[in-house]
Amino acid sequence: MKYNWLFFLLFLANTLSLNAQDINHYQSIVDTTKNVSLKLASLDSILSKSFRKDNDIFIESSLQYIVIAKEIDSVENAAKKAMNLQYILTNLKNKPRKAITIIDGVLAYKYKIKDSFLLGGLHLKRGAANYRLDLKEAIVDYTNALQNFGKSDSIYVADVYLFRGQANSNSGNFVNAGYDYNNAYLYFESLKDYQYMLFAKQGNITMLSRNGFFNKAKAERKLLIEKLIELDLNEYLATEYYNQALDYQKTGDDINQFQSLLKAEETLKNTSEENSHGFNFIIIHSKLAEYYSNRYEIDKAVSHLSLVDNLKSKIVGDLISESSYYGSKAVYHKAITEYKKAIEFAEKKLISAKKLKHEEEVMDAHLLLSSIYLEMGNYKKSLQNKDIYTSLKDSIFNQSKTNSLAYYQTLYETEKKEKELVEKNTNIKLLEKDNESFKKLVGVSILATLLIFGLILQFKNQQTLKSNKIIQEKFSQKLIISQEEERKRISKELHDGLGQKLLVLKNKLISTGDESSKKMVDTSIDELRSIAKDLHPFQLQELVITKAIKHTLEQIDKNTPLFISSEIDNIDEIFIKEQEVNIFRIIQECLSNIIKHANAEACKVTIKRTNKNITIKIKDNGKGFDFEKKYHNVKSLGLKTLRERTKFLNGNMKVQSKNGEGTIIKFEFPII
Amino acid sequence: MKNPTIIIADDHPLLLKGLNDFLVEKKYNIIGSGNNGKEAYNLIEEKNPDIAILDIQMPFMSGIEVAEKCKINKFDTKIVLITFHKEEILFQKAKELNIFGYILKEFAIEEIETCIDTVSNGEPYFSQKIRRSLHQNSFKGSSFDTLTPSERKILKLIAKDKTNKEIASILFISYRTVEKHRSNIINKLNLEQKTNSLLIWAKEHQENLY
Repeated sequence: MKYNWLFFLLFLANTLSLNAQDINHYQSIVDTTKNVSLKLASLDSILSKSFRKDNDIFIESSLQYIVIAKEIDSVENAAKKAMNLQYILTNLKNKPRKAITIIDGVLAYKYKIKDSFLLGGLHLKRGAANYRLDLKEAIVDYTNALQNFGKSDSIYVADVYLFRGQANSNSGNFVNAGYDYNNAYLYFESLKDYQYMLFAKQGNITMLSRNGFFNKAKAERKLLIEKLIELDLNEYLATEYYNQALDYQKTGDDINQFQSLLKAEETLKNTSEENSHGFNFIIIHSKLAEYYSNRYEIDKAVSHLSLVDNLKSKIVGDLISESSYYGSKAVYHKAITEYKKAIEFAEKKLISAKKLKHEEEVMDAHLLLSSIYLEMGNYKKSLQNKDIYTSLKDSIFNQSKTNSLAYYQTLYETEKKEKELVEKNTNIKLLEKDNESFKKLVGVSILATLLIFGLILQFKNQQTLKSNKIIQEKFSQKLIISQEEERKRISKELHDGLGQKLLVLKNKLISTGDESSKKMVDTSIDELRSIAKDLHPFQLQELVITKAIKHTLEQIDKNTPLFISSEIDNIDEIFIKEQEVNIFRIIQECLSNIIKHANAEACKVTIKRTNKNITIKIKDNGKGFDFEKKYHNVKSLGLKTLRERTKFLNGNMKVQSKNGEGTIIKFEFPII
Repeated sequence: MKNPTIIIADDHPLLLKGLNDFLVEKKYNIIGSGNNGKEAYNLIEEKNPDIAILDIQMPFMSGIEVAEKCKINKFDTKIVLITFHKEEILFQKAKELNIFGYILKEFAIEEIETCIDTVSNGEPYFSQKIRRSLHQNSFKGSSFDTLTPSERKILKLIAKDKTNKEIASILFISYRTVEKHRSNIINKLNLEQKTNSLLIWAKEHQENLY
């Protein structure tokens, strides 16, 4: 048996110490005045003063207020008062029927109520009252409440779902109950009301256990209990322990049932006065008495029963308490073999349960009756009750319903899993995002590294090429120098060695007087001289560069058909000997090219000296040539040598030539 | 001046000895000999010979340098260069330095006596062989030989009916230069100052121009 109505207990009813004089004062005004508004104001004052202090006066004044308010068409005010009155009438005065009558009286004018909160609220309160009278009616009321509440009333909507879930659950509509509980849970979740989220869960768990999913219920309840302890919600914790005890009872686990009941009892002691000696107290101690009775520990059973007996005034009228209490009594009497009394209480339990339309309690009552009749030996009656029990059980927990629940439960689980999945997916996406940026970073780093390596490689390559080029240039320079030295050496050798020997030979021939031999020696000497001169024209320090150039030009002019004209500045004493040799060689090479290849008629050599540099221009009107082609021709060394010599002088060379249009070669050498 | 005092210098021992022996044999008064330019100069400074016969190409100082120094110091010694080189430039340089004699080595033995005698009499001696080799084509009797290479080339172009303007353009020279060459040629060839006289002469002597 589950009693979820605990949720309704929102207030503490403290013992009253009311200000009777004040109330009397206002009462006299109400009684005497004919001014309606003053009357209502006074009644309002009485209501506020008597609320939770004198329930009788509160009820009386409320009723009076409602009647007057309705008369003056102030229906919304009447609605408020009717709603406030419901809890006291139903829960404290045990007059739910009366509460319903009053609410119905107001609802008759509902077309005059604009406020969605009031309209929904009236139905909600009617449902609460009906919860004690007729669960099916209660469900109808809650459904109406849902239809009337507006969007801004989400907290009440959540309440309604929770209550309708409880009503549905208790009346065996598990599928609907599950739907309601989940809705309630989601609403509370969005409102961030953790406490009520737990209540919704509690309802769901109760349903699970009622349908035999004990393991699942056990696991879920364990989590719920942990949460309840954490939030210090002792009233609900007590209920939960109680529910746990019921589950153990169903599975025949007596030890754990007892343990849970003791825990419930213990937890209850830590709750408020109203709670610790209220509904929970009744059902827990009733259950303990029942437990002891079943084990024939009569003394203990009696002690617990006597505790409940003291609260008889609270029990009568509350159908759930009645059902529990009478059941306990019946079991006790059965244990002490007072079967007649046992039957009496069992029948009472049955009546209460039936009134309440609490299907499970009805079933229990029948089962109890069956067992008592069995003890009494009245097998017929026992069997009758057993049959009713079985058929009820079948009707409530029939296969299709259980299947639906299973289906529903799966759905619920799936949703839960989906939610987890979505969360995981989100996490994965976040991770992926991180990962992606990480990848990007890695990619960029790799690229950067590659680029850097590439650059370094490129740089090194260039360095190598450069140094190679430098080495090659140096080599060519050295080659030129050594070539020059070699020429010089040979030239000197010719002069000083072979030449002198020829002279000596000639001197000897003079004394012998062989004329033909003498002539031959003379020719040899002449030949030697011209070879030596060609090889190295600078045998003498006296032959300076400018004169040497002029001399060469004269020689060409004299000995070849080429017409030479020249404008030559003095460039002596600007360069060192090696450089002068190079300049001379450059001019010599150019001129010899013209004579050999150009087929030119004339040539003009211009040497100009400025402060910064020397320019040499050699121009011919020959057939010209394709510089690029000739330069890259492996066989033509002359142009390459020209370039090398120019580099040796840190100068530059420009060739301007076209086939058939002559050639201009220009050199520029800086003066350092 | 009878039997002048002579020093000789040559870095080549064989030639030095040969010349020395030759002169001694001919009873010339050789008062010293040196192996290089420096020694030669010292000998001149010390012994003040009448004649110094020097090779041009010698270590430390060339014969020309020695001559220069002697000119600066106003020594009386008459310098005779005896050399293997016959570049015109050296020949000219020698003339500039008031050198008395210039002989090519291969003709030294043949010419040295004449040279010494000439120089002793205060006359400069320049080897005929040098003169000839420097002006190979000169003085062959014809006025044609007096033409310079440039003048001949211009003549060739004139013979090809080129105008002065065309010639200037072809030879990279100015019109006036061509004019000047023309008048020089006409003078050298003793032609009449007529417009066509040179053209006619060039045409007539075409085969000689090549």
